[in-house]
Amino acid sequence: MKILIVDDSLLDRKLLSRSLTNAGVKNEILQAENGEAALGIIAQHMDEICLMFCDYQMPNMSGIELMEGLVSVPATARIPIIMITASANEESKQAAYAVNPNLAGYIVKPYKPEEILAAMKPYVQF
Amino acid sequence: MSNSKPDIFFDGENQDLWLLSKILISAVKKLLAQKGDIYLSQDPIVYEKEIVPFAGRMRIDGLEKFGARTIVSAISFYMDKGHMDSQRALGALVVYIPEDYIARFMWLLGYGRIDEDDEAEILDSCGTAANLIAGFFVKELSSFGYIHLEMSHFETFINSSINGIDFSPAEVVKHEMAFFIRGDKRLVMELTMGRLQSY
Repeated sequence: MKILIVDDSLLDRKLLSRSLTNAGVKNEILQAENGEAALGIIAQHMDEICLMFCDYQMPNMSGIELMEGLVSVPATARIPIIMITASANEESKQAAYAVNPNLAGYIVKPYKPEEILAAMKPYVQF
Repeated sequence: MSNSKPDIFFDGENQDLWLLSKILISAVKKLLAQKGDIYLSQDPIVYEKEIVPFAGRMRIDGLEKFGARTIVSAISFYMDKGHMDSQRALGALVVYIPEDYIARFMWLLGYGRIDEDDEAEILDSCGTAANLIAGFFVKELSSFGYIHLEMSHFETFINSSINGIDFSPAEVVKHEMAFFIRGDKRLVMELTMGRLQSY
């Protein structure tokens, strides 16, 4: 099973990927730099993706818009999504949960690795 | 700094920009301390400067900040998503970092080693830093009773932006502040903001 990281920041993708690897996560980690790329990866690996990390602010297609599309399709609605954002405001968090009531987590940057691990624990085997 | 909620309902330019600049400085201090255990050598001095508009956008120039090759990242702020979709910005934050300091800065922020020969990583570093700063700023604004602002994705440039960035055309001034770390000027930020409602 695979984990997908969607973030327009190369550094944030590398940081998260490194956090997962250092924690002993054995799953293959896929990366997408924007929503469109993420959709392409999901289409290709739909049945293999066990978890998705998604940035909130991205160009062209925001994380919210990407998530909105995914939850509207039964085949992709089952993918657990953890949203990662630089915006700590309650309004942003409420907007995310309004789009996806089953959101697996909402984590604010800069995060501690323990926060990531705690959020993903139900979905990934270490 | 007082935590009292300011009364900012008035017409014209945002005369509250001085307070917002102090809030930005506070946010930056918190981010640096929390993320990298970094402390400023001195409190930044805030300078008011005229905005140079071009075709409805704000021009930015990084070379003058450090006299060296500078990476510049900008994030615009909007009242809500609708305003963001129609590109009606309320304000903007511009972060300038000298290219020869970026790798060190990102290391201090916990991002690990940056490939200084990879221009994509260098550009992305500045944008990532600007994104963090803007996020802390928006959060700090909320704690002072201001409304939540939507943040744009960051735009990054080398030295300057030909096309400028989105800002509130009602504003004619911006605030510039330099951040000194271990005695050296390491970051420069510019902030412009229109009238900001509070709760």
